[in-house]
Amino acid sequence: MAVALVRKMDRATRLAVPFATTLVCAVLAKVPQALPDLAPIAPVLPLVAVYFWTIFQPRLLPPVAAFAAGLLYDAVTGQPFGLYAGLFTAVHWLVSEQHRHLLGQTVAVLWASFALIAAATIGSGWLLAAIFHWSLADPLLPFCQAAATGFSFPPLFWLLSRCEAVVVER
Amino acid sequence: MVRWTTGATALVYVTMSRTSADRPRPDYRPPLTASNVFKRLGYLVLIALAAAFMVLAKADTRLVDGISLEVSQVAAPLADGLARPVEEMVDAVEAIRRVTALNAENERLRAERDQLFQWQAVARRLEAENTALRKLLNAVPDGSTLFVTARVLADTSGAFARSELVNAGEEEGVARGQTVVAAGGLVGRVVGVSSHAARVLLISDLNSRVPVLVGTQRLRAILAGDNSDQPKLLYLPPHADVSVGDPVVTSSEAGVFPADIPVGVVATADAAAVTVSPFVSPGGEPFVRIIDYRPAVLMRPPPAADGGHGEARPGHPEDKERQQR
Repeated sequence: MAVALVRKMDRATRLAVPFATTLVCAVLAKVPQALPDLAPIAPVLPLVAVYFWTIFQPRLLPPVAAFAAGLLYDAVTGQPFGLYAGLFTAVHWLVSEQHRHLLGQTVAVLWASFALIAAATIGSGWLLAAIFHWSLADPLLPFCQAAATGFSFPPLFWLLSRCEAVVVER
Repeated sequence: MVRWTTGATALVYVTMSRTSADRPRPDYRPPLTASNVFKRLGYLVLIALAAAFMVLAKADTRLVDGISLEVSQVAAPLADGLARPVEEMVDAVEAIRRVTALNAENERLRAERDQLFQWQAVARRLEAENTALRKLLNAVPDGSTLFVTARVLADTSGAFARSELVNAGEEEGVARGQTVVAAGGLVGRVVGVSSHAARVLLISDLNSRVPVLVGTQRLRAILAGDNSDQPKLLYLPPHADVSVGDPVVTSSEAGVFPADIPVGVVATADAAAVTVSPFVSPGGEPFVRIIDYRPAVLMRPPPAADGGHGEARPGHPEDKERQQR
């Protein structure tokens, strides 16, 4: 009886890993507080998580989860509420449509396609924020943020791969 | 083929071997089944919901700010835990840097102290003169200011917004529109409040507009944030004589900010724009004070001549509310 319960809990915990790691990535946006100069160009880490899990475990990160992670990210970073929720959902859609092309590719190809998606997402975010505030912000900051997000891909990919191993192997 | 780390590459190969058998051919197109249509419809609904949140945020800022703050507050303990190791690391680096620069800093502080003694003498003389002149004119004292000191929970600045989250909210008497200052000067204004947290719009944010007085001539202007570290001065009088280093302080003209809170100094003054270098750098202060400023004209009866902090204000609507609580 107890063993069955532990197994059930273990399974539930493992299935929650993709959503949990995406949420942690969203909350990590608060960490640059310790490095105030870097806050505006901090990488959009949950984007990597949404991209990764949509490719490798799409069933464990449904569109609603990407949307929720986006809302949390918007709340934590003080962006217009709903901005990244919509963008993460759009990325989820785009990646799931291209799922069969991306699955099984090398890290380099995945990184290159992620870089394109990150640039498009952050660029769209900048444009939507400009429409929202009806004023153009400095375009250099989103450019740096997109670059930082692109460079955050390899280490985060490695970490998420380890997490995926936990989800899959047992 | 690029190899990053053996672990990651191996995992990709594992993924390949695990999934390639199930992988459909590249020319395969999924059939237009009901579940596919529902899936796409789901995406459209979520994107429309996100757009609705943004439109609502524009129409009713209080409601959406409230939701955003509540969500942010839930994540605060986890974020603090994650931020701690980074903070410790930055503190350690800063401590080492300070020790190495100790001698030079001592010399600089000595020189600064000598200069401040001179300023102290000038200030005392001016204070005495000010008091005497106020008595002579029977001047109405400035508005009452109550304040709450709060810790900055997070610098929530992003590429498109500059704001901070502080750990004082409605329960502590914080309300929208209140002024936020730090030891150095003006930080910003409260734009959203939840029960135990508030969001502060920094003066560098795109949406920030602060009425200010510039230089010793006290020229009126509006300090407008543009998401850069040096906000601009707008609506200066034509041919205004502004030069680099002129002090910028708040103006109480609109009844929003208390008068004469230091904001910064003029950083550049050319034909294109006049920019200000603020005294308080965003995210640089661990604690801030939130000032509940009320202009003197709103108070019945007028306060005591000592400018009394925290005196009762009979008839003031917020005081009535507090008494009822």
